[in-house]
Parts: sequence; C-alpha cells; structure tokens
Amino acid sequence: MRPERQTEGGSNDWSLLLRIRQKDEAALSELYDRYSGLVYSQAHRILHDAGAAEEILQDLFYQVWRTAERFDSSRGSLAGWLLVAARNRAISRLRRKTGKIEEPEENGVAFSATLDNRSTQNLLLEKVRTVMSSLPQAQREAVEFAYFEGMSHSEIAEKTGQPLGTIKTRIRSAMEMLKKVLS
Amino acid sequence: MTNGHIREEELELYALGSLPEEEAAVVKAHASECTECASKLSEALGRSVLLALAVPQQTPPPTAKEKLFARIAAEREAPLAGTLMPHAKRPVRPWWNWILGPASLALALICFLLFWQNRRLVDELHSARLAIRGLERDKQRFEDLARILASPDTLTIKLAGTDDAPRATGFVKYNGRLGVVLYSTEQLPALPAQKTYQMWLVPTNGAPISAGIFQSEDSVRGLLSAQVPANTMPKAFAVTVEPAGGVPQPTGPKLLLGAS
Repeated sequence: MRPERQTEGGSNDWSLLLRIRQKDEAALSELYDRYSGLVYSQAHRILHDAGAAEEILQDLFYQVWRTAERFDSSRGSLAGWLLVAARNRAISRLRRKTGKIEEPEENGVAFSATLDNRSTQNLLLEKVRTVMSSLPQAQREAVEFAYFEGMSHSEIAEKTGQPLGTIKTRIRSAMEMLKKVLS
Repeated sequence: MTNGHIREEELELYALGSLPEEEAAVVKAHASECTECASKLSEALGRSVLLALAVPQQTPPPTAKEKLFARIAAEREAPLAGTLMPHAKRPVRPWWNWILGPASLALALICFLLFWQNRRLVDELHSARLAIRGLERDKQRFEDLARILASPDTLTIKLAGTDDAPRATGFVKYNGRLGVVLYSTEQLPALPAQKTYQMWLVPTNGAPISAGIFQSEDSVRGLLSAQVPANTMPKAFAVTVEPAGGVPQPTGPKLLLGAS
C-alpha cells in the first residue's frame, strides 16, 4: 500500500480523491490547480491549439469528478493517469482518429515521482529537461516523434530514413536515460 | 514475445504510443491476462509520462476552470429542473405552445442529424485525402524505381544461394551514381527467432556497407530498396542472417552471394 503523505501545498492526491467521491468541489478545485498546468501544457504541445487543449483539460477533470471511485490509491498514480490519458486524447484528435480513444486503466500508470506540489514539480521538470537536452538529437527526435506526434516506429523510420531497428534502439536508449531520473 | 511475455522494448514502444495498431492490440490483450506484463506496462507508462514534463509549461485560461465548474453545477441542477412544485397552479398555455414543443424537438433532431452527417463527411474527406497522398507517394516511388531500373548505368547482379541456402536466389540492381540498391530474393530459409536478413554491399575497398534489413515477408511483397554512399564501387553483394535490428558489420552466415 502506498503510504499516505501530506504535501506542503495541502492534502495529498488520494485524500483529495476521497473528498471528490463525496462530491466535494473544493477538493476538485485543489486537484485542478495542482495538475491543470501540466495537462494543458502537454495537450497544447501536441495539438498547438489552445481551444482543443482546454477541451481535453475540462473533459479529463470532469471524468475524475464523475468516476473518482474507480481510482485506487494502492495501485496507481493519479498524476500519471491524467498525463497519459491527456496524451492519448490529444494524439487521437491530432490524428483525427474516430472511435474509442485508447485510455489507460484508472490504476494502470505506475509513476513513483511526486508531482503534488509546485516545488517538487519544478524540480522534476528541471531534471527531465536537463536529460532531454543532453540526449543526442537523433534519440530526442525519435521519442518526440513517438510521444508528441503519435507516430509509429515504422513511420519514424520512414520519416528519418533510418532502419526500424535503429529507431527502436534510439527510443530504448532515450527511455533508459529518462528512467535514471526516476531512480 | 520472450518466454511467453512481451519484451520490454515492445512495452516501452506501446507506452509511447509508437506500436502499430495491430501490435498494440496484441500487447494490450496479453497485459490484460498477465499480471507480470501488466505491471511492467504500468511502469513503462509511468516513464513515458516524464516526456510530458519536458514541454514548456503554460497556464490554462481561467475560463477553463469556470467552465468545468459550470458543467458540474449544470449536472447538479438538471434533475431539479423537471420537478414540479406541489399545489402549484398550472399556467394556461396558448394554443401555439402545443406546436412549439414538437417543432423544437424536430428541429433539434434535424440539427443533430445534419451535425453527424457533416462530421461523417469531414472524416471521409480526411481519409480520402490521406489515401490520395499515399497513392501519390507510391506513384512517385514507382516512377523513381522505373527510372533507376531503366538507367543504362544500373548494374544487375545475380545472387546465388550458398551451402547454407542452396535453393535461395535473388538479384540486385545497383546504381552507383545515385547510391541506390534495389533487390529481391526468393526461397530464403526461415529465420530463427530474434534474427533478421541483412543485405550487404562489399566494396572493392573497405568494409562491407549495410544495404538494409528485411524479413522474408518483405521480400515476398516485391522490390526492396536501400541507399548507400554514392559512387561506391561494389565487389559483391551478400545476404547474411543477423540479430534483429541489424548489425554494423556482418557476423552471421551468408545465405546469398553475387559478384559484380
């Protein structure tokens, strides 16, 4: 079971979720203030469209409001879920996919770093940016094409003119570097 | 798959959304039944989240939060809207009020149908545009290939099977001026797991140069192409079996060989 931790900015995510289950709007407001910037920035980076990013932001937090009971504090990260779900929705819209959006299970994202107050967010943001800027350009491009453009590895290989195996290796190496940020 | 589990590399690609739909469906189906892979996938998704933190941070417009809470308030109040006050006196409705209800409903239905029809047409148009772009790319590629094949300075090199692949055959069309290698193979022996075929240009001077990796099904589909440094003088072309993803220099057994 994940230990309950009180953050410097207020309640932790899971105690906020418990209150949201009781339809406490102040708790949703606190959760929104905590993560809306990250969710919105990511959607905006993918779509380059402020209106569309705002829609994704609203829809996600509305979903948390409606289905808070599905999240389980012992099994996954709420911050991780918000970011993965926002990314999938933005990519689906970017690629104009119709039909069901591939969405992670509510408890299906294991994210051990803390993001629930501004200072830890800023610290991790800084670390990730340092790692990203230190990656060789080809590796950085490969993960950015995948994550922010929603391109498959074969599409990246076609776009860059590199063998499929090379693209997979680049992505793997970049993700290994990022893994060290969390360890 | 390795030992009945999804390889970490595939999980990483799935988490990044970089697997083709069919392969992603296999990973998802397996993870739904395998707790070990589900746990690793969950961690891979957690790592992919880090990329979201690399983007420049922006503040959402204040109206976004207002709209969210307005939506929640509307949901809370909606059930109350339909309730009647007890003992309330029912207002007298003018005769045309009876028409307004059904007419509004019909209008809403028409708007809804037009909206969906419009949305479907926009989607179809987008799909058609993508298909046209794909066909244009294919056409351009076929024209380029035809030009290279017909060019008088394109060499043809026949590939013959070695003792490890006596039935295998193939050919290479090589244009040194453009540095283009086109090739096709037949009846190569089946690949072991985690292996790939790799085509090599063996120059008159220097180490072999990779001309791409391929699987047997790629070869069946037709002519494969690769780019090598222009003006390389070839001594021979060869196909070897190498670890998946290819290697910088040949290490595995030769299956096909042809001297130019």
